[in-house]
Amino acid sequence: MKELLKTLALECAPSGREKAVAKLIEKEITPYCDSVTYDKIGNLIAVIKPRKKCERVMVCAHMDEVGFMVKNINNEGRINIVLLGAVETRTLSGRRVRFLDGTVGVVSTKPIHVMSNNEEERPTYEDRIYIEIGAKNRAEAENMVKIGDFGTFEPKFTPLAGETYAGKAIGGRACVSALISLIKETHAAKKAKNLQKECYFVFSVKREIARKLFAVETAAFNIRPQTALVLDAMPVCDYYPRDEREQEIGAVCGEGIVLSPADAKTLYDRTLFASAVSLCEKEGIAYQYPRTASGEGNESGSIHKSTDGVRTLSVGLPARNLHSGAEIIKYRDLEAVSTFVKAWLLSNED
Amino acid sequence: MEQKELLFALSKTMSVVGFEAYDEEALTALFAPYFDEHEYDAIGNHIFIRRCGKENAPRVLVDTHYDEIGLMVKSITEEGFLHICNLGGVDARILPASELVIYGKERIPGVVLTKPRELMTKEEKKKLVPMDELLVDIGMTKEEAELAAPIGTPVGFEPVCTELKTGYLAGKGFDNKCSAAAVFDALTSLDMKKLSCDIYFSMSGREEVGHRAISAAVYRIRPDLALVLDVTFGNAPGSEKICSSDMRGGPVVSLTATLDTELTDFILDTAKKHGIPVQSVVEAMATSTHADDIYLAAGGVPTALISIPTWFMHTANEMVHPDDMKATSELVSAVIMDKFGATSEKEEAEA
Amino acid sequence: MFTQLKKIVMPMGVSGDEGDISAVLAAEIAPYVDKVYNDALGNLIAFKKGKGKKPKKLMFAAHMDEIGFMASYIDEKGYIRLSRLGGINYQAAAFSEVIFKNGTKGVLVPEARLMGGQREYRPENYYVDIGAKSKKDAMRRVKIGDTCHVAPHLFKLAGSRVAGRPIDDRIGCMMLVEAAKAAVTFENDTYFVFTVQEEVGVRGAKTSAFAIAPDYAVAVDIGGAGDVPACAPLAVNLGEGIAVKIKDAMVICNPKMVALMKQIAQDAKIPYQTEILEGGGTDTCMLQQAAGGCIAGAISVPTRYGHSAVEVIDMNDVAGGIGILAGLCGTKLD
Repeated sequence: MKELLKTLALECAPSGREKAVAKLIEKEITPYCDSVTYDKIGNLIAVIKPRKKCERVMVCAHMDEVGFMVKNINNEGRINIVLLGAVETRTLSGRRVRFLDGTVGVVSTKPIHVMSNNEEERPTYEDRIYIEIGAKNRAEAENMVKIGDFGTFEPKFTPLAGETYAGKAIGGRACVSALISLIKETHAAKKAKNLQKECYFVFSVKREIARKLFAVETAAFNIRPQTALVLDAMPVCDYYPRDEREQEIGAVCGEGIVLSPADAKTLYDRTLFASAVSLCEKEGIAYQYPRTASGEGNESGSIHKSTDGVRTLSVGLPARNLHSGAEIIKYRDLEAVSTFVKAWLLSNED
Repeated sequence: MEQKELLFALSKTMSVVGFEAYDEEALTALFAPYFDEHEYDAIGNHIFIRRCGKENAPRVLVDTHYDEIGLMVKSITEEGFLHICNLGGVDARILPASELVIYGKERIPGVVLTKPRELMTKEEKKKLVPMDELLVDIGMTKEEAELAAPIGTPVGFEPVCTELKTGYLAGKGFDNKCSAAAVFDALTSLDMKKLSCDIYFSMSGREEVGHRAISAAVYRIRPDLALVLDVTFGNAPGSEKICSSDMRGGPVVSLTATLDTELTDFILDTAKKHGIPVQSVVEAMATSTHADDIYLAAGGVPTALISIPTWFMHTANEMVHPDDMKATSELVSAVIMDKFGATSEKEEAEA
Repeated sequence: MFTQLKKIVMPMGVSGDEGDISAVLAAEIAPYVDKVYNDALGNLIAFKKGKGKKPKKLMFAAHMDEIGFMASYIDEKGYIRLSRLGGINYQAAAFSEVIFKNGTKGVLVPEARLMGGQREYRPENYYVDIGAKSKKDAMRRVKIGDTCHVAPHLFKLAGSRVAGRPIDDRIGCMMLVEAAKAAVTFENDTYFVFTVQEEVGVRGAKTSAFAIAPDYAVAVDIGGAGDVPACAPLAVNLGEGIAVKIKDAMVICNPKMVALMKQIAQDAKIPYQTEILEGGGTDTCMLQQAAGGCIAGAISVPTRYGHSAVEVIDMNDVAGGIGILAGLCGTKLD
């Protein structure tokens, strides 16, 4: 899973341009699936099901990552951008970014030497930053970059001590790698005639730019699952306690999967939640709860309300620095996610 | 009918958001004769259909919302003046001394009252009068008003359409009836025999209050492809901050992460191929039009957005230029012809 | 009617955890309908077949969930922190008795430092004291994810008025049951739906209306009242009749449905008012646009102090509302 994670994390897939990662996943999973297709908006859907009819389950993870689009190129050849997803501009200043065709640029930042005190204290706004690609003028810039082009943080995969990994989009891609590994296990279970669920695996697009609906809604609409499991990175902030009260910290990197009873978008199915907790207890899988039951939420928000309703559970992988050029995860958390989803999907007890 | 006349006729029909049914018959009479089928649904969408006559033909949805921002009678004062509230995004700043129409059983003219400047205090001069303090004078007593314009009666801007010397058109409800006029022109000019698709033209309702009706229409139609036409901001002082485009620069195609890339590229290529002027604008995360909704509705529909540049959006005098409407119309028919008209040519080539 | 309302007000049913109230309502309405069932999210649906050939589908919706809390953290001393479910007014809920689903009682209090001069009513500054001696002790009684609510109660005020909680929207649930009871005929295929998760974003109405795909739909919920001291202007007064909704922040009701309900009220000599709410929303918005869309409207019970522990209504308004609902059941829709 480690090698796969690295390969996935080094690939770029800003929301709306997920093809590179999708192709990689497709290649990886096709030998194990009954079918691998794309829906009309680009969600990648893999199916493994037994002969007989049984419960239809959908498990999903998103392929996309935060990034930006070129909004304008000025006469000096500098590039104005619009962000895709909730990128904190502070994490952009002075960083390297890459356009999908490989062009590399650096995000502007005003040298601290010339900043007024007032400016130093303020974050930079999206409309003030630009990307420098070193072009002489607009014409030269337009040879490399066009208005409407997409880009992401420069891909990088940095192992830290203690099987900790850092890099852009690593939280999301880790979930993707867990889902791929689940597909392989499901295939094995089917071969052993042990599979008792119709399994639909969805690698979704455009999660980071969702407004009213998440793009995974279309997959849920077409699949009509009875039950859904959503894998996603869970932002944790276990390093800056907001005040002295311990409860403000909540989930911690390295202490296992995050099981949410509820968040701002979803009240998770109570039976699924309770059985997930007991499954962790029984299998000895490390688990923890999020800081509050009103966190931001994820794709579950669209899935559970789709069609006539879907019983939904969400599993979070703790990640620090989420949506930055250097997200951090611990491998043992990813292993816990992987172990959990296998036990959850492939154990045949009620 | 010329696009200009059609736009003016559409502008005169009352379609304040939520009350699209008020002039349902007039609109049906205007459009339905040009289509094979017509449906007016429970939530204010008109669906006009042209069929190619081939079995299992793909369905193309062309959507223009036709509801307009407006107001509503909220209460009636002892003197017979009306209190109003907002339906959609009417800017309260444009209302003082505006001429309005109250759409009761009859159309009743009314005027928004404003305090004469001479009688304002210094503070009042600086302050904007909020919507719930505005009064509308319809010349009636309370009793008369309660019968003619009861609470809940929709209110709209006076429909006056003007052609300026420069050719620009000004009037109410051009957001988004200018698109409807352009699309009508495009769709009725198509030779359906040469096409291999059925065309669903939705003049949809309830857009201005948060896109509340289009997804239901998509759910019933199940289109294979969708083009959405709406208005966008024309360049004007102060518009650098938003995504704006040149007036008379042609239709505006949205480059965005939210919609279908291939269809968007196809539209831009088609414009180039046919020499139709076209511009593009980057709307990265959302276009805030029906396109966003259609794209994700009923299992997903490849969708692209084309917009007509407009000045003074959401006022009683929205301005568009007929050149932009005409080019938009040409672009829509070229896109449909090039995408779904190829079979006969292919067959000929093969023969 | 007070006794009947009390029976429906008392069971617990915080958003997402509506099992208890669902069971009570299922038993209440079962005698008057053909079929009663729950869907994936827990909506309770009671179906009554209509007369004649190809009757239209009429759906009524009242939400059975109530605003409440979920336990999200238990600290070393055994105090419980909450996340809110629905638009609770913490100031109004402070210093009251709260009850967890399993019967555990506690008191909801703000941190002591808030009680001085400057008050900052942020949800995270409140906690529940269940009297536990330690974290371990507390965790034996309450688990993360358990829901709790401010203790329910209902009592009579002067005349036909009653106060208590959660009248929002158990009053609507009672009206659905009473309408099923009172209807002389069912001219349409009628679905009485007790929806879930309204208070957290009208979620149950979306899925149930999708499955039913009604032709006509009416939501029943509490509304506002404009007759209390220093309130926002609203042309609705308690006791002057049930309110036919024209719009709220999330829906503009179909003028056909508004006209139909006004007509039924006039014919049956039921006093009514019209309601334009500029804030808030109800299940109506989801009913209107679910599946292929339908003709939707709503009736609102004029209510003072909504979302507090002392919501006040007038039972005469309620009776009028039941009359309109029963009238709709007996109206052949086409």
